[in-house]
Amino acid sequence: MKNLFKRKNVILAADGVTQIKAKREKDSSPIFTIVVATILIIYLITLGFGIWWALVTSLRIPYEFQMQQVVFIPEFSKGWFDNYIYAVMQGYKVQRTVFPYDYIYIESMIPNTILYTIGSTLAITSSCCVTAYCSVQFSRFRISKVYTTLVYIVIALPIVGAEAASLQMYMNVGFYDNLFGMILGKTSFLNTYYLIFHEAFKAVPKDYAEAAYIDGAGNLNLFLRLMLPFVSKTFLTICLIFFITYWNEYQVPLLYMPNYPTLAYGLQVYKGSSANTAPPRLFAGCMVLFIPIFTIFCCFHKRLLGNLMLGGVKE
Amino acid sequence: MKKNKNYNRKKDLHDAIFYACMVAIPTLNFFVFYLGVNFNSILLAFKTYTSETEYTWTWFHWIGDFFQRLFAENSFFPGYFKNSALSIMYTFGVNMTLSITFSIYIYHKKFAHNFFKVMLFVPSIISAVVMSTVYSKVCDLIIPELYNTIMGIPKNRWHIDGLRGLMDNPNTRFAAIIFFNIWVGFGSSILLYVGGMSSISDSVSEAAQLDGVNLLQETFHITLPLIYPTISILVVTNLIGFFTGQLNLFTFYLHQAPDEYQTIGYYIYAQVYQTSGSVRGLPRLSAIGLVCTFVCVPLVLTVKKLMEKYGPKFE
Repeated sequence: MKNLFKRKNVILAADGVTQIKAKREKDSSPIFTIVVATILIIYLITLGFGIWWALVTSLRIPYEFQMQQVVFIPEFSKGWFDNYIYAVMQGYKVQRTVFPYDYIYIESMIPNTILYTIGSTLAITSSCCVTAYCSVQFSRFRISKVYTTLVYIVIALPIVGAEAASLQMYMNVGFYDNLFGMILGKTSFLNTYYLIFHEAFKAVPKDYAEAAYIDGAGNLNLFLRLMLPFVSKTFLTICLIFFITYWNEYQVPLLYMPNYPTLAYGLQVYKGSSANTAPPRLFAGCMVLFIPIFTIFCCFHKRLLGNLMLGGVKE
Repeated sequence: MKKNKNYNRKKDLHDAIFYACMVAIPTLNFFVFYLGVNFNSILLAFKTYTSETEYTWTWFHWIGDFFQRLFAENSFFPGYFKNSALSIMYTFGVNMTLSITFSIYIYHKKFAHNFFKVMLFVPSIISAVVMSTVYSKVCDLIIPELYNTIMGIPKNRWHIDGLRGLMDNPNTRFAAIIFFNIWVGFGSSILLYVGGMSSISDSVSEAAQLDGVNLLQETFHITLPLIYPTISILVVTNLIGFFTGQLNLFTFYLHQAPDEYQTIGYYIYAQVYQTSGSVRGLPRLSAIGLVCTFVCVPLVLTVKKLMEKYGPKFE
């Protein structure tokens, strides 16, 4: 229906029926709205101000920055990209902790980051998904209840200071300083996302599975071609959450795989060793890590911010 | 009848084999990296390593050592617990209040709620290394410059009369770190609160509005009680943070944070980091973790029990 005529709140639709456009509801708590909106705007200004200033500074020559530090308009003077070249060629470097004690540069960090991030994301999401599916689909086996109970116990029972023992365990099983070992070590279902998958699979009507069995589908076919597509949105959302987490994670690679540095680990070392490095070069290094993940967020923020609850993803 | 029984047995066997294959890796991960690590954590606390591979059982030596250090004169440990308590206080008091307030704003679809929802999540997707780098430079360069310019202090007297960098000045450093943790701490908790609020039936809100309740009454009598499970999970998580929270100190200082700012979670992690893969320093840290776990577990379970007992009930 096209609106042929609009006057105030009256719309004459193409079929000739006049409709009254609903008035926007009056805000019942204007003071609350004004106060909170003001706080939010101030908060976002401080956030945006910091990031924007860092981005603009990353494009400035260090000498110019020394002369004037507070500049918010980008200046694309000669050599504006030199900071990025410096950060990439010399900033991101980590010294190996074993012989030959040489330096690892960004060309090794990028594949480490991609492998670690994607591998860990798929490992943990798949583990949660598969374990939750089995405990729902085969709920007649007693072990299914055990898995769910274990998750509740682990979430409720805090274990403090297990890093020391965890590090020793990784060394003992040969996963220490091993990229693939680290990814395998992520195949855990003991987190809240198991419960999210559990609820998502429970919401799938049992009739579909029964019909598939009658049609001769095996268990693997049923899971891959019927059940997984049902929870594909949940799977993708959780993958995105973990992807961002592992992309930004530096403490675990720092501790467990010191000779397979990721970009976040490399930036932390760059920052820590850069007492004399000009902020423009440091911020250029920050932008190398920030821009890819911010781009992904801009593309997928609707998926990411869909209401993820224990009842499954609410669209 | 016998044919059916045989068919069911065959199906059960197929299902059991499929189940076992699918959950083999997550189950193995549970046994090795959860049960194994925590069991190892307990054993490690009672050992002393004389070399990288040889150890002796020294039983309560490291636990006694921890209590000795805790009550020694000029010990830093009481300070670590005090800082942990302060960080929890600010997290509870400020972060939780603001998160719930912003969530209510977004839930009630006030002005620009979608925009604020997206932007509030941005700090969660940016690496802590990037955020801390930008924040420390803003505190040490921008804020003093803006302050000195506004107060009209001549540039040649900034180093005498001007404001010192907030992260540089020992008097303001801790407050600046606490503020940073509040500043970046909103994202995921708001997502959980909004997710919980979205599950509240619209008819409940509409009925309340028809009865003439205002926003404040609706929040305290309807919204908060209905999202009480989400709140209690986050309260418990924050309580665990007393022992595990690091205040992002590792991001700012790596393992070299000043003793007066350290928390117990940071101390344990930084000490593990400094062992550089050697096992000899791990038993002492395991003992500290074990003592903290013995305090944390009953505390968390008690708080959880109290929250369930005295929380709002619905028929």
